[in-house]
Amino acid sequence: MNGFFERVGCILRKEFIQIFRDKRMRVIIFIPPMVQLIIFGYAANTDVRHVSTAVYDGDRTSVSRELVERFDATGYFDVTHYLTSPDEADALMDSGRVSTVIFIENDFGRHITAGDPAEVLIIIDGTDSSIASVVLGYVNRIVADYSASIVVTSIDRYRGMIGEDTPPIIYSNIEMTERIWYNEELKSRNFFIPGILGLLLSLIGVMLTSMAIVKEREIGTMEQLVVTPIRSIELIIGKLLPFALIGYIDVFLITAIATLWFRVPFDGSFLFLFVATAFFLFPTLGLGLFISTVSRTQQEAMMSTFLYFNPAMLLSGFVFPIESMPAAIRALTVVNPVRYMMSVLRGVFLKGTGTAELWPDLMALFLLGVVTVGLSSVRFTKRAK
Amino acid sequence: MISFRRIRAVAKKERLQILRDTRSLLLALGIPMLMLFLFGWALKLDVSDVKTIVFDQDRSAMSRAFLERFDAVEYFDITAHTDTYDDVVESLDRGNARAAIVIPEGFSEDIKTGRDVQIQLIADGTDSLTAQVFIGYASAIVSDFSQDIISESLARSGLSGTGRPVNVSVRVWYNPELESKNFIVPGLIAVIMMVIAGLLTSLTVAREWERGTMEQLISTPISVPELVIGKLISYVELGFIDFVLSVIAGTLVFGVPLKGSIILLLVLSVIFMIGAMSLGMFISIVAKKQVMASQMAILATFLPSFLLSGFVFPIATMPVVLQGITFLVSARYFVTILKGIFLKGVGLEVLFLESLLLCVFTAMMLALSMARFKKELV
Repeated sequence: MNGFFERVGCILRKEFIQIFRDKRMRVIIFIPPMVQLIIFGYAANTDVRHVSTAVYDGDRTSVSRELVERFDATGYFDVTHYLTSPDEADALMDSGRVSTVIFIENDFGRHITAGDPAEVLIIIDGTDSSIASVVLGYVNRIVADYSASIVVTSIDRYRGMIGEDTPPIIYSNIEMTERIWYNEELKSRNFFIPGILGLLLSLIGVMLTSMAIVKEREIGTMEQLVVTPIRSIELIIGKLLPFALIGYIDVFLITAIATLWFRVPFDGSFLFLFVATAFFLFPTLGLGLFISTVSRTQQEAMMSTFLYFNPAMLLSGFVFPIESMPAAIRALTVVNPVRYMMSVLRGVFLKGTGTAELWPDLMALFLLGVVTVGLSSVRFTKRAK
Repeated sequence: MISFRRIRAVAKKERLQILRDTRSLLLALGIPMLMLFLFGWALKLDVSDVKTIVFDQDRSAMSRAFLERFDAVEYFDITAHTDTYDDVVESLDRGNARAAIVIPEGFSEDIKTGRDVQIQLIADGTDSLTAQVFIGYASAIVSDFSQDIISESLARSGLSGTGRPVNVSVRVWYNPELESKNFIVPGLIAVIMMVIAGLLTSLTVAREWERGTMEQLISTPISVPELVIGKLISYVELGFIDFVLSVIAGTLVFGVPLKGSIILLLVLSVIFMIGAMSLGMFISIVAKKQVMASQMAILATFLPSFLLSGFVFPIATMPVVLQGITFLVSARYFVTILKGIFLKGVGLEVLFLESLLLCVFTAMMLALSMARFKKELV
């Protein structure tokens, strides 16, 4: 271990000079993550509000208007079109100008007051099925509430009708109160933004690391490093540490923007986020190192990064839940470090969880780190020789 | 004066170059299929089998009948029963359950004696979309149960008002089973085509510069439009094969309905590809270096076509400024067109504006890459 720190220190100094001397590099490290976060933060929004709705009210009584009013009052539906004939619905739906149509039958009000079943037809645009499912949920809920209120009023009416000798009507209303934990306002932004931190961190980590090492090989300075008395482990540590530092700066900046600008709650501890970042950077930088050992040119390193990042992003649970994936793919996600970081980030931001709940994820990240760094240092040593 | 003979010659040269570079050729044909199969199969947004923990403080026949209704629908999967509230907290914290149903003590007693009852649903709101969907279903189940209880008590009192007061039929158009693959697969095709188009062409001009063959091209009598068009033709051919394969896989393997006109789909896809490839070419001309070119191509194609095309994230909910930016993302038009032709079966009468804007975008990109090219040749 003689001179270990000295040699690592030398490499570190060299790396820092090399990274920060390059004006383009200085910009690449910090500006794109910020811009991407802001665009992502605004674009990644799946909140379903103000669904444009057309109404064909064949009844036009106060009873039917009350039903329409119930839809409008929730804030989920905006009645934008009143139809004079049911045929108008087709064109509106086809062009996507409305995504819900409510048809109320001609004798709706009369049927309700008479206690007969009244007919309502609701058409939902299912093109985007996840939004349609939310809309369907709202529809079911509004209709069930409406129907319950009709039942209750009719019971009150019956009460006046029945005589003394019949048994009293006993009924109870069962209501559901919902408690939403972790993301009380159900803002999709709170779900996506912590995820974006994981994505950006992995993109920067893998790309910068692999490019930097391949560049060294491309311009031929790798040979110079090999002839110095430095050992390959020292070289690797010295090469990776600057990128770990850059990763930390990005985490800090992104967390600041996420909490201060986008108002994403941060319920956990910063210390835990700090520690977890190290666990995530371990396999991420290891992967960058590995890519650098299998790529000859920066071009190849770039392509490999892209080929890794694309599935790593889509199969991380960032947008598409891992639970809904087929079993074979779920098994595949076990080796995806981003997947673990997603649950860590969402845990620490929204749930306020820490090591007690998230230690399995940290363990997995650590193991992946050992594998990637181990694998690439084997290859690295061989190539150097 | 544009000579078709020279365009053909350039196209032939490019075609040979593509065919001889087996690795790139495999990449160009293999990656789109791999992405489509992997992601078309893996990515779903259907809400089903939400892991649910039950804290039943009543433990009566009535409470079991109530829970039975949750288990009967596909949306909920009751995975655990517990006796303590702490368990509920823990399994939600750990993510072992996404929802919890808490039934109060005296649930069945209250129902029998006519007191109102409150059921509590605790939802993990982290994934807000999923949460919204299952809260809606839960609420409908509870309302139904409540109405059945009321109807029963009415029947006991000899009143026949047992029917539902409102008969609501809900129809879902275009995607009646609400399967997420039906909109994810067409969206994926758009994203994949954009990425492939951008990547393939982003290198073509940069490569000529790096290998020094650009000077040879400059010395020939080929004019800029001929060179650009000739290069585009060969790449559009390749992209067209990708697109046809994707459509075949989408409809036959994934069973996505193709309701509209295939001819219209193919024509618009060619227009889209010319635009996307001109963009790639433009990047290639500006960047001159292959590394820079592929970096810029990824930034200019993958992220915008994934994020700003309306593929997963609806454009209507974005802030106005961002909505304005989406007009510059041609994948936006293509996603609308694909969803329209595949799922809705609509034609030009509905997709007129999108098609027009797609043509405008393509023309602009083509003009832009030709204009930039000229300066480089001088």
